[in-house]
Amino acid sequence: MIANRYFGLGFTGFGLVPDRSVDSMGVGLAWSWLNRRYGFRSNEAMLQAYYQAHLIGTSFLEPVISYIPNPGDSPRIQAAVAMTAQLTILF
Amino acid sequence: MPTIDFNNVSRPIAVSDESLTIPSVTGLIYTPIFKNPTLIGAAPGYYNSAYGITANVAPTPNSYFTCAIYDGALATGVQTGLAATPVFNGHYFMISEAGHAWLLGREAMPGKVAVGGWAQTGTLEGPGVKQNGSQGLYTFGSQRIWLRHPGIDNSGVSGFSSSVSMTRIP
Repeated sequence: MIANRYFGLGFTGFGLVPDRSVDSMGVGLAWSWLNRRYGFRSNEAMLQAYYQAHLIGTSFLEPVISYIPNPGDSPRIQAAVAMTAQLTILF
Repeated sequence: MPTIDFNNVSRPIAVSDESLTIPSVTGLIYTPIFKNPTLIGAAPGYYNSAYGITANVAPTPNSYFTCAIYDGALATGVQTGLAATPVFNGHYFMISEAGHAWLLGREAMPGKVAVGGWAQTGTLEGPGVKQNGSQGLYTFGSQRIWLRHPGIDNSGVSGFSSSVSMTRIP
């Protein structure tokens, strides 16, 4: 198994932008202590923020930015930033 | 699917007041929201489901107790999600969780806390180590902390947290 301790927290805002009552936004931290038998770092933190925008009907577009200051896979890997966009259509 | 029934921090609290209803506690998309990292490799979940039995008890309208036992072959590297039948090779994953929800203050802001424990049976192997079973504890909770228009709509802010510790790891 890859981790033996974990702590996470986050906050979510609903309808905070004027005239965008269905939109939401949030931030989160996920911090894992890793199993060093596999050559991982001792720990890995993930920071993420998103804005989920209502498009039309039951569709939502969610741009996400993720930042990992200490990628756990190896101590040799430098900090990483990732941009993601997720389209959700409920039916 | 234990990752839906257990340690699911994003599951919203069921409330009868429409102005308090939210579709999900968070929209974060990183893996730890859907499966706690300490349970990766032990608890069945997307995409490795497993056969098992889950039982739920709700002794009061605001509390619950859930327990389950699953085919635990995933901990030995078996891709149980690809198996049409249970593996049952002597490894079992057992988990239980108890939770309580409330409505806080005059604005009746919903909150919840839950604690759980799990145990994996059987011989487990990792690089340079072999042991019999593994166990862990976890807790998580969420709380609506601000309502912008109390009683009118659900706009505002919620917070959540989750923590886990595992006693032994192969």
